[in-house]
Amino acid sequence: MTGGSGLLGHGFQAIAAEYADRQFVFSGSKDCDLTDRDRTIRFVGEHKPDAIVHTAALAGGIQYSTCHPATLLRDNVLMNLNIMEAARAHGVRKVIETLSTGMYPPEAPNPIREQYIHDGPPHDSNYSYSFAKRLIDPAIRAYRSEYGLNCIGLVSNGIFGEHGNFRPAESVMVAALIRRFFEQRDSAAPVVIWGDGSPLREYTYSRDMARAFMWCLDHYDDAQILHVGSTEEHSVRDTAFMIADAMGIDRSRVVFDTSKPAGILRKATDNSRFVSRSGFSYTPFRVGLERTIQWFVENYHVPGAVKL
Amino acid sequence: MILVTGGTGFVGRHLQEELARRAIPFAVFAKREYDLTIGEQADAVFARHREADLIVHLACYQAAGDFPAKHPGDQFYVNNLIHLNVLEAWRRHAPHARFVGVGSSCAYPSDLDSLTEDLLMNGAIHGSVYSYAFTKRALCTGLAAYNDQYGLNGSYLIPPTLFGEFDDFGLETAHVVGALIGKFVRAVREGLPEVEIWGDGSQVREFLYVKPFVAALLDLAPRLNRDVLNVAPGCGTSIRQLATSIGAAAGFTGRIAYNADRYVGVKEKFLNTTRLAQKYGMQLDADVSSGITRTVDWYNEHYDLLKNRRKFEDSRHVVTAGL
Repeated sequence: MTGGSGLLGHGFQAIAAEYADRQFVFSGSKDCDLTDRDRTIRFVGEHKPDAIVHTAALAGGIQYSTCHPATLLRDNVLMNLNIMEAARAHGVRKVIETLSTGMYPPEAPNPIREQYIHDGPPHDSNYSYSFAKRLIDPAIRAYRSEYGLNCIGLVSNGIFGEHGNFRPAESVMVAALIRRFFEQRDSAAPVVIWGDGSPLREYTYSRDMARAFMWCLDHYDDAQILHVGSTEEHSVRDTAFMIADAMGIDRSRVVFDTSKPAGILRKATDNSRFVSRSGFSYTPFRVGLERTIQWFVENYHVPGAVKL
Repeated sequence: MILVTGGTGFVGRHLQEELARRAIPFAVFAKREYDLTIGEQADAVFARHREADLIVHLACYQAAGDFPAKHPGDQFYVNNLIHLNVLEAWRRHAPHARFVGVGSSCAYPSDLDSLTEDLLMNGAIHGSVYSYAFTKRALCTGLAAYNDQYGLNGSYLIPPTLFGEFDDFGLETAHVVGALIGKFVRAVREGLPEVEIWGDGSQVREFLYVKPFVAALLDLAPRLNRDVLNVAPGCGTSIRQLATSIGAAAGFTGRIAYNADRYVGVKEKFLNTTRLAQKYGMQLDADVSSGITRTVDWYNEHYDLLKNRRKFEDSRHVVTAGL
C-alpha cells in the first residue's frame, strides 16, 4: 500500500488484523519516490506484491493548490502512471488507483454519479490536482485493454478519522472543527462558524474506507470507477453540535456568522453501484466522529502524534 | 531561435521548410538523439538550446487507423511522459521562451457539433481515441498549470486533421486523407477497378493542408498570450468530396464503392474559428484541392520508397528499465 502513513493508510493499519490471511506492506514517501519511474519499478520488484493499493498523492489546501498547479499535475500523474507501469512490468495481479470526489465538475448534479467525471472542467481552485485524478480513468481503460492489467479506480469523498490531518489550510471541515472546538474548549468565547451552518456534507470514517477498498480488492474488477464513500449527510450545524456535545461545550457558544459565505450547499455522491454489489454497511457518522475526537483529545499534547 | 520538438515528424518537416524559407534560425532533433520520454534527455536538449525564444512542441506518439485501439496503454504512457518532461524542461532551462503546444481536435467532447475552445473539457472523449486524446487534454492542462505556477507564456493550438507531404500513407495507421491517397494511388498504379471507402461518404470532417497550418503557427506565435486557440478553416469537407478530389488528382477512373455497413463516427464535426477570426483576424482557406494535388504528386514520386512503409513496427516504444 502506497500512502501508508496517510489517513487512509492508518485506516488500513487499524483494520489489517481483520484480514489475518493477508500480509500488508505500508510504504510512505521516504520508502520510495514514486515520481521516479525506475525507482518505482525497482521498489515494486523488491516486494513482488499480489496487489497494490495506491493511495499516495500530493495534495494541499486551497492556498497550496492555487500556487502549485504544475507540481500537483506533474507529481500526481507521474506517481499514478509509474505505479501502473511497475504493476504491468512485474505482473501484479490487482491494482487500486484512488480518485476523489473533488475532481467532478462543480456544476455536476447531486447526487454525483461516476459517469459525470468528464462532464465539465474541474473547479478552478484545484484544476490540476482534479485533472490528474480524472486521468486515472483513461489510464485504467488503456492498461486493462492493452496489457490486461486488472486495475480499478475507487473514488473517495472526504475522509476523517484518527491520525487525520488537522492543519488549518489542509484539513477537511470535520477535522478543522474538531481542532478549533478543542482549542477553544476552556475559554468562554463564542466558537464562530462561517455561514448559517445549513450546507450538507458527507464524510467517510477512515476504517470504513479501508474496508470498502478491501472489499473491492477481492470483488470488484470493472473498468468503471466506483464511489465507495459513505453517503450519510449532515449539515455543518449538526456536525458542529455533535462535536460540541462530545467535548462538553455548551451549544449556545456555537455562533453562525451569516455575513460570511457558507460554501456549496450540498455535495452528495451516489454510492449505489458499490453498496448494491457489496451490501456494505458504514459506521454511523457520530460513532466515527466520537472515536476521532477521543483520539485527538488523548494525543493533542503528545509531541509529533497529531498533524497540527 | 526556435526549438522544435517532433521536428523530424510530419508537421515538423514542413515547419522546418517554412522556418528555412523565412530565414529564422531553429533547432530540431531526432528521437535517437534525445528521447523525450526520459526526463534527463529532455533536460539535456532544452539546456543545450536554452537561448531559444520560442518552443514549438509537436512531439507525440501518434498514429490513426486501428493503432489507437491496439496500443492505448503505450500511447497513454509515452505521450504523458513526453508532455510532462517537455513542460518541466521548458520551465527549468528556457522559461523566458514562449511555448506553443499543438493539440488535436479529437480531444474535444465527442457529442459537441461546434468545437469551441472553452468547451474542450465539457464532456467525454470518443471511445476510439480516448487514450491519445486525454494526453492532449493533459498537455493543455499542463500549459495552464505551468503558466500559472511559474508565470510562463505557453499557448495551445488545435488544428483539424492535417495532411500533406511526409504524412503517413499506410492503410493501418494513416488518417483518412493519407489512407485514401494511399488507396487511390495504389489502385491507379495496379490498375484496380474499384476503391472501397468506409461509410456512405456523407460524413463531414475538417481538413487542412499542413503548409498553411505551419505558416499560421509562426504568424500567431509572437501574438499568443496563454491562449487556447483553434487554427482551422472552420468548415468541413464531406468524405465523398474528399474522395472525389483525391481520385481526380490521382487520375483514378474506376468505381468508388461506399461501404455503408462500416461505422465511421459522427455525421459532422468541425472547429469553431470565432476566436481565430475576432482576436487574431485570421482566416484560413477551406479549399483542400491544391494541397491534395501536391500531396498526391509527392506520394506518386516517392511511391516505391513509401508503399511498404509501416509506422511503429516495434509496438513498445519505451524500454522499461530496472527489471
